[in-house]
Amino acid sequence: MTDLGTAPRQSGVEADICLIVEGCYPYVPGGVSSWIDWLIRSQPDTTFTVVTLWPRPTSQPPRYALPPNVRTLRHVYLQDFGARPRNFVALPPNVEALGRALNRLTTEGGADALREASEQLAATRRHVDLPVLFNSPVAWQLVQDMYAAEMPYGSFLHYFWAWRALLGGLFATLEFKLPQARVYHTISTGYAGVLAARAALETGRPALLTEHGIYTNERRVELLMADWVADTVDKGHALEDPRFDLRDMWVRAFEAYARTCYEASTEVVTLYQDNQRLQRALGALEEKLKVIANGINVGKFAALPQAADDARPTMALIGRVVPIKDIQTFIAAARIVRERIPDVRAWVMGPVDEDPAYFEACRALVAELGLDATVEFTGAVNIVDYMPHVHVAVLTSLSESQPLVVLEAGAAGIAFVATNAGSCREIIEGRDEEQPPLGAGGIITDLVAPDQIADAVALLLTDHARRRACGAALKARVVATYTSERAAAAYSALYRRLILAPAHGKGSGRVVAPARGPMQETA
Amino acid sequence: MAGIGFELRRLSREETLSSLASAFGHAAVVAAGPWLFTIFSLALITLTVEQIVGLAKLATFRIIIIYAFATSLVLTAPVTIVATRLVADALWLKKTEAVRPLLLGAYGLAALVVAPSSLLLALYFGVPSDLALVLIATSLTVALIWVALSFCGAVRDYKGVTLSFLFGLLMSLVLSIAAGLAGLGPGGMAWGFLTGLMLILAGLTQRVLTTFPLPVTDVGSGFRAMLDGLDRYRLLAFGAFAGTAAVWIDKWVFWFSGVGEKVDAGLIHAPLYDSAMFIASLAIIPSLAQFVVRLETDFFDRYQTYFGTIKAHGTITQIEAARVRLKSYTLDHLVLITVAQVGICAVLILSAPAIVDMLNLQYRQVAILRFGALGAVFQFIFIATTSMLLFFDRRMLFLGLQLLFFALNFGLAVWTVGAGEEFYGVGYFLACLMSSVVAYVLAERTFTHLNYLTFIGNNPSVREAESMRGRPPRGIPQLVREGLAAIMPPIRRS
Repeated sequence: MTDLGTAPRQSGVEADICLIVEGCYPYVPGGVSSWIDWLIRSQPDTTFTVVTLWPRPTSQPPRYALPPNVRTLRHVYLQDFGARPRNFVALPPNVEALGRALNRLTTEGGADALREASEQLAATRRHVDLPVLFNSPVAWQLVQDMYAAEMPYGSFLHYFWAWRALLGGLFATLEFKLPQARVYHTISTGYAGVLAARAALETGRPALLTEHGIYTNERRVELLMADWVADTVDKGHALEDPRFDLRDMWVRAFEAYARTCYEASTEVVTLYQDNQRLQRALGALEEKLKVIANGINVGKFAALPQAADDARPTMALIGRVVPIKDIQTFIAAARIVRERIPDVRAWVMGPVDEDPAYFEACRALVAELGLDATVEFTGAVNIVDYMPHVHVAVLTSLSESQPLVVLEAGAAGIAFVATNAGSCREIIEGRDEEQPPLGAGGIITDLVAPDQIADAVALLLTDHARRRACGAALKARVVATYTSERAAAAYSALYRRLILAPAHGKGSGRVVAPARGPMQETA
Repeated sequence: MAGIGFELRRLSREETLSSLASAFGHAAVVAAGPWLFTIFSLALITLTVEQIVGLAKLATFRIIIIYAFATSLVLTAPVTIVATRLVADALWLKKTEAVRPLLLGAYGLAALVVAPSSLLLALYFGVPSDLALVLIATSLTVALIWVALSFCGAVRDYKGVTLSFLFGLLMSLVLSIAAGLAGLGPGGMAWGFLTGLMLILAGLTQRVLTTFPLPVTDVGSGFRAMLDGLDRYRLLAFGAFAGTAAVWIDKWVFWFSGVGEKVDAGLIHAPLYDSAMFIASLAIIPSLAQFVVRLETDFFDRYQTYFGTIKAHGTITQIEAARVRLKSYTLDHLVLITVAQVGICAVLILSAPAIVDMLNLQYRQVAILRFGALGAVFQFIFIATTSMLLFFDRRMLFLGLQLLFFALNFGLAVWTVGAGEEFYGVGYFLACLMSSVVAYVLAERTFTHLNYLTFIGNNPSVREAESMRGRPPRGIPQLVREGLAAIMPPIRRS
């Protein structure tokens, strides 16, 4: 920010914004990482320092060059905590209180729990450094106490590793030396969210959260799908069994972290309204909630010509060939459409090499349904070359957050048929409060419903007027609401407001920095 | 937002704990065997050959054999213990194709170490060239026997070992006695003895090769694996070296003191001290055998139950119960066997004059024999407890204890030599006593804190993660990494 005349003075401030990111930027391409790259570049007058949380030191090269307004890139290694095991370490006097505080932070969460854990850790550090503690009899005492309190009937082996992963990540997060910044902006809850909450408590500066997908939900799905998590408690068929197992422990910890982050954050931003349901459910206060949708650069799409009415009828799915996109439902729908429109063409545009087994299964289905002349996998292509030939764009995903392809097709004026996943409905039908109402940009269907999708596509392919109306409405909505300029302006305003916000010092009574410990003293 | 997600999956692979050590601790006990084989064959020679060929010819011949056995045993100790560990690792990982190359590699390494060393030894003592040749050849052969023996131990092929040794030793005795009777002198007798040893080596090698029939594709791979292993398990290698040297150091001190005598071939020994101590050492055989049998059966059951309880997702209460059973059983039986050992020792002490008489030893060796027998009780405890430590992969402690024993046995032997003949053997006894007390206390502590050690203090996954801090992931032994991946796939793909 160039204009900091009225900004609170802070000594040693490294950057305006400290971005806290977990498991993506700058090492994983695509998705959230591209968004972060975009965000930083869209605010050229603001300085950033980036803290990236990553499992352990990596030899992977960064996939993104740091923009010039990034001052530093720091790492927190979540699964790399602990010193060489030391067998002779006396238990600190507060070991029981520490165990209770850590238990509270990982089961209930909340700013108070974080403060209590920080204070107990500060007291512990006077006796033993955390990395030493983590691989010493102190940790052994802690893990036994917490196990006895949590799941004394469950697999100790599993509990032990889960505890190490959970607490190792937490310790690394709490031990990390925070850079001084005016605003702490985390891009997820989880450990990144805990770090932002800690920053808010310690520095009194505002924490800001932007959630793309809902972290707790993504982890829950991941845990449910992970068959390596043995069912540590044999629950049999008694679904009401109150005992809980390892999955519950993980999910509960992530929820506790989310609660901590929601409570400590000044603003809780997400991409679309539907996400806010889950944020509210985990205690995010209504007045903090805010939607800033992702935007696209509409220019190169808006200029594309529309497919002619008498061109070969074409439906297209733009996306990777992976199970979560449910390509097989698209293929099944194409078969139904072909019954009514025999010369229909169905493109699947996206990389096919990510899940070769699934791609094979899709090809087999095409052959089985006799769709060789209808369905075509183009592989990864420049969609701009294909869009002028597409009448109806389709998305059959089982799960989405805010899919950019809907915006891109919309900007090109192509009518859209999509499942009710993520923000598809919000983009295609418009929010309730949209003024003036722009009308439907296409048709929303249920998940895994080839009939509904086929009906919708066939309707739009045959009713040219309606299709053009949908395309025009979607284009108008994208231009009005989903441009990257708009998103950049929203963040610029938000940053400006928070940077200028007064610090919550010790006098404010709301948040108090914990007692000074080595955490702040180490250089 | 994949960060922690990857990690959740990765966790399932980290359930390694100390399972690798299990097959190995056992073999380490068997590895105490070679030293006993040495004593046993020497006693056999002394008893049989002396009557037939007379003392003078025997002395030079016997000293050549002793030198060959001692130098090769001490020098190959690091090679054999590392080979034993690598074979145990390979078997645990079901990589049987790795065994043959390891055998070749270990043979090569042992020969590379022993051949020049025994040559230097012969040069140092000015051994005549004909005797030097047989000394070097015998050292080499025995070195390879120790290596082969460790491979047989790792696969518990006791029958093969026993048969090879019985047949080979019989040939050795027959051929060396025949050579002595034919007037071929100590050199001829040694060549005869060596022939029998070569048969043993051939027999043992044959056993290993038949057990692991997969052909060697890369001749150098075993050698490289051995060098890697020596680096990775350097604590073990050094510990084994110190341990075997410790068993001989008191003898060497005596050889180089005023008590030592030079034989015709230029080599020195101290028969007054040596022969009494060798015989006393034999007293340990029954207890050690008993101990090995216990290890094989009841201990191993409880050991596996303990780790099995952990792996089968037991609660901490169940794990603790298994630990208590393992500890009390092991220590109780150690005490029981020690009591039996005390009995044997008492018999030996009481009958020492008769034994001396029977074996044509000098009467002043009675006291040495008695102190040797007393020391043997504690040496048994020392061997038993230090091998216990290896079962729980406490390599650092193992090394420390072997160094302690070495230092004590060395220092006290020096003191003994100066203190006079009535103290001969006291040094060895005290060294065994003190080292075994320390070893017992440490073993007891290991059992007491076993849960902590298993999960944190001595957990390879924890240690390994620590040792890689701040560096990109590399350097985990490839074998272990691949093996773990094969045994515990992180995700079952359906």
